[in-house]
Amino acid sequence: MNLKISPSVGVARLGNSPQQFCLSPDTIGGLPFEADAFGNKKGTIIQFKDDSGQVRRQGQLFKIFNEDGTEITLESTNVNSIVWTAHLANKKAAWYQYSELEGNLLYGNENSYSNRKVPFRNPEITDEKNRQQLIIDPGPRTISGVRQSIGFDENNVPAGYPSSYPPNEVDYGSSITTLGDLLTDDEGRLIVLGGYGHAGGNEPLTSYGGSNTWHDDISDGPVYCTITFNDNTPTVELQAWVIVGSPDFAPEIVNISTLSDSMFDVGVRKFNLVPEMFADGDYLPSYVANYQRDILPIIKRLGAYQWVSNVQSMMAFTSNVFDFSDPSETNKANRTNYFSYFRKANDKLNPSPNQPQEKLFKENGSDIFPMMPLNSGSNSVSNETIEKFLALNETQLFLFEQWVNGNFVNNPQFTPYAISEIDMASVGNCVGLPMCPGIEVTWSLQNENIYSAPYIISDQKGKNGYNTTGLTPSRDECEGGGCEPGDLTKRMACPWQADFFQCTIQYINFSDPEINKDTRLQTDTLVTKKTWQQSGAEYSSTEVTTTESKEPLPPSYYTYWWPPQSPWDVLSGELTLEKQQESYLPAGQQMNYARGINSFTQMVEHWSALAFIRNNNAQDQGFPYFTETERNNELFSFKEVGIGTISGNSEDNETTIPVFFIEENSEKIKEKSERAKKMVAFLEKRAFKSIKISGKTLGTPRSGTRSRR
Amino acid sequence: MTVQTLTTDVLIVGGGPAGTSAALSLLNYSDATVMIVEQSDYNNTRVGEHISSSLFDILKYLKINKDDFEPGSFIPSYGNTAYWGSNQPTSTESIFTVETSTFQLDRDKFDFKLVEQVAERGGIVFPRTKCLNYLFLENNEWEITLKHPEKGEFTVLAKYLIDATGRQASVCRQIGAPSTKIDSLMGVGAFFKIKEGHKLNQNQVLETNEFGWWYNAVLPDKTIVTTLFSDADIISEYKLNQNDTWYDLLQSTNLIKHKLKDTLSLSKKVWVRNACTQISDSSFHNNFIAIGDAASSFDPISSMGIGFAMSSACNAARIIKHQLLEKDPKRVVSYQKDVSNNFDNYLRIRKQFYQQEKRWSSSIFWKRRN
Repeated sequence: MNLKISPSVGVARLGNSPQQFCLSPDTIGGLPFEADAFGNKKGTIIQFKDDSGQVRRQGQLFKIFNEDGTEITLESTNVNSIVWTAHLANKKAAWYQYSELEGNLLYGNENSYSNRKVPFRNPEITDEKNRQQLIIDPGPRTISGVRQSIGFDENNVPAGYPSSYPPNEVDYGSSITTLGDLLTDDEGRLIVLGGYGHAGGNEPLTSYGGSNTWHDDISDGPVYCTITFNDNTPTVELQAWVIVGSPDFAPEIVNISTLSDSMFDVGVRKFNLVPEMFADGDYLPSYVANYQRDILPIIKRLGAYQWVSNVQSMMAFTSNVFDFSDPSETNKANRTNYFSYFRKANDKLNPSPNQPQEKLFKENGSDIFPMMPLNSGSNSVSNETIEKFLALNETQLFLFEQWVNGNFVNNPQFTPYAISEIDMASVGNCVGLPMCPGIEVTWSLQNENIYSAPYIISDQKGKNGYNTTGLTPSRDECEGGGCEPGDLTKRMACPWQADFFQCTIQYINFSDPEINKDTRLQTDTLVTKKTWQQSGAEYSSTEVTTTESKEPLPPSYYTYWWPPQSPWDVLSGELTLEKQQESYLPAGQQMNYARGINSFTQMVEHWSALAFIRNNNAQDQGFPYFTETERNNELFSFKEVGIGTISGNSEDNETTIPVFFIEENSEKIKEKSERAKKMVAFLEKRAFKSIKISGKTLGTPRSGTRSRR
Repeated sequence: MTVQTLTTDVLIVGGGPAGTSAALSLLNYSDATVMIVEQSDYNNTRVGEHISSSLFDILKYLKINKDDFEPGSFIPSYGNTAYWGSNQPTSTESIFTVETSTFQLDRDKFDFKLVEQVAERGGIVFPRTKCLNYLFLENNEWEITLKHPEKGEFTVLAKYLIDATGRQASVCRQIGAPSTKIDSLMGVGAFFKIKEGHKLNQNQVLETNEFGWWYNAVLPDKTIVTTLFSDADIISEYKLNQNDTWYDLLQSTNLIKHKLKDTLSLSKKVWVRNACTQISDSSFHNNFIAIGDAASSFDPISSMGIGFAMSSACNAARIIKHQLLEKDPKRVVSYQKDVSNNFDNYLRIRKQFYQQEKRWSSSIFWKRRN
């Protein structure tokens, strides 16, 4: 028997609903699934939020498959037991400050953290033992049988494990007590649930990378499975990995370059995944690409960005100006021209600044058109190791070249690659490019050293490998030797809300390949002159003020980061009188997605108020209609502010600007009665004393009665 | 998954004055076990009502002294003004009130006391809990499915079911009890906070206009409620539920606009509440009774709501006590007759009130009531 866990790298997502959860999609761009309280998978998700408007956690279901594709569960006749172990950890607070591409060893050893002198997060804590305490490490958890559950909280730490949790008291946000839960369903499959989106710290948040003293409840780590049999089949040990990401607010919209594309690219170039395509260090021009499998999905993704961002040039680029599927020689000029608009990838090891990804436009005489994809690259922020604009990854670009050369077929019945659909789907719903740091994981996933095989994360010490030592705070797994729990997510912003809030769009300088940001010095001179009329006496003074600010060097271009994960321009979708009164908007108006969330702190507290962008016409493929759904409109207040209030000219008030904000006072008004709260708490304690709710604290998922708009 | 099942003699849906009065009556005068299901967290603002001193007799029957309530629960009202039937202000007592001394209720303090008394006397209260389904079993008991946002779903088996859900009469509607609607009156209103350092007398103002009438009252916690009452179709035709229209109309009032001079608006936008007159039939279903607004609801001009809520609750409790012992459906029929008589009486009083306003003879709102 040749068994494997699938997905090989699962993706769960945070949610703040205390009871309810759903399950991760099993196709790229698919919707999550409903599940009962034990994690048994049901139909397509009905609502992303619970009754009180809190986002449901998204659990990753792990299954075991035989190589012939049959699933092995506790119901399988010869299976005696299936024992699952997972070890989640969050190493963010112990890792280096996020510093764009600095530390990425794909740029050579001179770009290592130490050579670039990148500071640690929480740098005042210096010795290794104390830095280890910065890791949220609950240790491993083991579960077996059906309908079981165990939490990654302090009460369930394995005896003797040197666990560490962040402080209970924080000045901002909320403290972290758990990284999630493991469940088993009715056939003993594993469900990994991540954290609740809690984040807390003591220093104000000031940057997209987060601040010192902060922690969040993102995590990742290995998943192990031991299967014993009641016939003579020897015991099987399997390993996979799980990543816990922030919520996917537009799950049906796919990134142009997904994390599956990144893993595929590494698999092709470094692990001989498709020997007909790449061998001995080079792509093979003889390889026959498939339009349906390799090209069309990318064109479709470019077009779908319109539902979450304003990139009209990408829309124009995906309209059917010619038959993309036609491999004929007569069509070659069209294909060649089309591909000439695609930006080529930078050569990471070439130190020259004049690289393709620093170029914005394709120029043709005085004509210009933004090169594709029109999106930020992995470093349009700092001046160290610049990568301004996005290019497809090398394998994606190679397949496009095959297409240009007519070396492709247009056959919907294509042979799939040697990676299962489930393995591609989980990571296919994560960002693959750009990585700055990204949403779920970052550029370390482009490095072959963290893999043991295509789509398989290399595991450093194996099951229970850290039981006496705990985890290491500063070891760089990109040097090789395998990953520890927490390694895949440790480079991400801490807390994630900081990056999510600040990084959706970027003004990117396109004139100087060596500069993203520059320091603007502004000097204002005030000359005061006084003259006395009779005596003719004079006095004059000159006051010079200088202000300094670091900003993107003009000229710049308005560019997006990862709108499918962090939407920016979306259509309002409320269709009833009541809902439109609450949202202050008609349906169909393009609005800013995060309107009303106006600070880091508000993002930390109110991220779950954001809408999910959902296709309202999903039955009919090819006619998508995406709008906001399930936004917690009641949280936000609205004012139309007359321009005159800023300009001082009352005539200007005939033009107004819509302003959305959270009225702190109105919340206090709602909470007017502390007594009511206490009374309710008392009554509930008494009334529910005798009621036992099964499945620990997990309530039933909501039924599908309410309209999902 | 097994759903937890609880049993009780009487399940009361709705934990306002009607529901809690029924519970207290049963707990005082019978051996019945009682559960109350309240869907709110008791944190919503309940608009106080003008009550008459006869309410204290009902409280006595419920074995609660007036002094048991927190200070400020009952505020004597005085100096009430009405622009009703005339451009000259008159006192409201001269037009509307049947009895002499009246009070303004602090509904928070009042309702909390009643709920606390229920709990103290052994009643079980489920706040924040919704009823999902009512099933009448073959053995003449009710099986009710409930849901709490954190505890999840559970089931209660009850011998008797009371609808005390207010004007929505949600139980009546769910089990199909017939109801008759006399009008579609609705209140469109907003709350205002009196600014620091300013004082306003605890009084009420009534003013009519072509669309209906304005009600303005100072509530105990330095807030003011201002409501425009009109019919649903008129509200919708003239967009009276939109902020702009509502505030424009407010500016054309005589006295109320001055009352709001030193206040801050607490409502982001005006709210709309049902104030219709209707009556439901409780004798429709075995082992079921509707009380308070769910049984019959009144125009707020009548100030009859809370008094009837509590008296009908006490009457219903008496009937249930006997029915649990002897199962005689005739008693409910006589209860329903009392409710109907009271309702007819109310309709006469209502007519008298509205007939005193003759200035808007061409307006559809006033035509309907004259």
